[in-house]
Amino acid sequence: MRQSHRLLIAFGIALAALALGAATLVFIRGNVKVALLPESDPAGVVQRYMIAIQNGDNAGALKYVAPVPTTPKDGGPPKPIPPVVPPRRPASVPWRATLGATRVTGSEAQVDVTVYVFRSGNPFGDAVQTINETFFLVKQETGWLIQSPGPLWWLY
Amino acid sequence: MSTVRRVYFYAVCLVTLVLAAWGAGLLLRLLFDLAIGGRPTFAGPGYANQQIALGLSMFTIPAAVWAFHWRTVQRLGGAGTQEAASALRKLYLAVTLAASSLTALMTGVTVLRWLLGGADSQTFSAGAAGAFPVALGVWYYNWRVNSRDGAPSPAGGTLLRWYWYFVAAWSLVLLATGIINTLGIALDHGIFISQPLVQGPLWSEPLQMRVAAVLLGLAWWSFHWLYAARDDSSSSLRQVYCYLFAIPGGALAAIVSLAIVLFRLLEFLLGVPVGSEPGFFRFLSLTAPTLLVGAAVWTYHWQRTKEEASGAAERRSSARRVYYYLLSGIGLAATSAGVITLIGLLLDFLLNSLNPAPLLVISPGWWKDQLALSVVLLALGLAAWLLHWLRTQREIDRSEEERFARSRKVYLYTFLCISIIASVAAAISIAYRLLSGFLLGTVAFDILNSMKWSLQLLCAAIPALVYHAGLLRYDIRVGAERTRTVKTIVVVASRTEAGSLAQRLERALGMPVRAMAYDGPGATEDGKISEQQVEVLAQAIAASPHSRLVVLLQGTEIKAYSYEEASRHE
Repeated sequence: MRQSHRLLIAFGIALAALALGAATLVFIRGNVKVALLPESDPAGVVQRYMIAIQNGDNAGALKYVAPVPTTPKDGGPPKPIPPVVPPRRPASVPWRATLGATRVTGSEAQVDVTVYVFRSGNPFGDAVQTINETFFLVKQETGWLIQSPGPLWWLY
Repeated sequence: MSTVRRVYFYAVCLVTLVLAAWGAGLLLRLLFDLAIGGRPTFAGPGYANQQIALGLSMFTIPAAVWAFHWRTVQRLGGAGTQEAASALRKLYLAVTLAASSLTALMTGVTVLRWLLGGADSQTFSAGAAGAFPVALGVWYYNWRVNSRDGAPSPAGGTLLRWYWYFVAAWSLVLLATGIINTLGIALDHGIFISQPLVQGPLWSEPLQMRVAAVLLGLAWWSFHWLYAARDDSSSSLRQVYCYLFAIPGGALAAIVSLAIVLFRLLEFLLGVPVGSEPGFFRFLSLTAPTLLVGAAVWTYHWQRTKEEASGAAERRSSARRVYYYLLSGIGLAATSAGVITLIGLLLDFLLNSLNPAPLLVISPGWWKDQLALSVVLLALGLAAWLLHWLRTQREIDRSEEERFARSRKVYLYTFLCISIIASVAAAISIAYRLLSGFLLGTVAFDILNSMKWSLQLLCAAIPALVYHAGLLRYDIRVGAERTRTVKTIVVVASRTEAGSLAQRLERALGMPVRAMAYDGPGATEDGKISEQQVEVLAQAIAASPHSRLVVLLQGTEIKAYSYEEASRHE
């Protein structure tokens, strides 16, 4: 047998083993359970907001967003509330998010989040896009509420 | 007439014909606009008069100049004359035929769409309606001129072939995309949008446009491929059209759409949430017709080339070889993409288990989607690659000559180059991240996370590099890189035998052989040459140390002589 054929068989075996290993991992350890953080923490609010978005629960997501004053302080025309959930339904893009650092200063907080979005459109590039996002929150009577970002552009 | 004078006449004829056709188109457009167009297209009362003046000037003056020059050209080029077969005349005719044919096709689609839509004056395009008859008329006239000219010279024949295959390729694309879109619109309308909120009629403008494209694309393709090029199976350009355009184009469309279909179906079967969304199967409305049409184009042309595969062995095998390497390349690229995705999935698992940061949220289909994509890319890529690559390897087992083929070298060096560049880029990125992470005291997880894409790339590039470098090393060891003496072999025989003998010799030698036919007084019919004679002749030519050989056939006697440029000194 030629050396090139032996190499081909070796690569084939390695590839089959990798594919089998990946399939086993996906089916056995793929159902990751997410631990809920306390709702009183800024990170817990961001988590619930993102879960609501992932479930397509726009009304539920809006509960964690600080309302924008309809009449600005300078007396100008009322500003529209920025859309929290993208108008196009985002559920078809699989994504996950991990928590980074949380900084609390008085009644304001910043929560760093790393979002991973899977897109199958370009098979020759990295299918997983990584986005680092910082959520700005403000403490109100009802608890922490998200001030920004409004539209989650990375789900488009 | 001198060549420069002939060039002048044909150049003037070409330019004036274009201008006259444009002018005629303008006049017809105005006429149609006034007679049928329902929209107020005129800016003012003087606009129509201006258009008439422009159209008349552009038509009459160039038409008169064209008529004068064309009459002179026609006097030279009576049927069967040298001028009628000349390459310059065929260049003029090929350019005119191709331009007028494509103009008629594209404007004809618009006109036919209007007719299919009920000839509503609101949607009438006077521009297309004016250009269509003019382009069709120019094409018909020149087609008749070419038909009356008789057999072209070899160079003239090649120029006409360019016209046939260019228009055949164009109309095949129009036909294929027309069928795909027609089926797509019908499926989308009838099956996949089950409960539309608002829906217009199926027989709408987009569908009428696609149906018109199908009808005219079919007519143009049938005429140029099935009729005009029907007896052209021996030409190299036909092999290029089939092996480098139609077959790989159809294969690529079929493979890509099959990959999308399988990926989506796997998502559905694995229970990824997106699969349960309403309208999920809507992707089939475009991918299923593309798969069917791509496969039909692929198999039809493949079958056709197999049926025509006799004679001119060397030229045919070159084109076929390019096709096999091209498909192998597509398959290997898809396999590499599958490996990259698979390694990414495994690294993602590893990173997820090492990540100290808590997981905030995860889509239920996060892992399964990646698994589905990598499985589909690997399965299709490996199937396409192995099917075609192993075939080239079997050819090498049959004949070591295959190792010398230029297409093999291009394939091997291309993938060696890509895999080396990818490996070096990935290695630099990994080394940089490791060093900078170590020097800055970055957490090991963050370093690994930042290297993920480079690791994926490296895992796909290294096996490709090792495999192709090994093949190239072996090829070089057996002498594939040594300069080979290319022999020029010319067969000179009677008109009836020259082509046939050249083909048989070409098959026996595995290299191109030119055929020259002698004619005139004294030319006799040559006798039939046996296979044994051809075999002996091929062995003698192969063993000859000379690089230029002429094979003379007279009666049943064949002789091979070496030849070279004779000195003119006394």
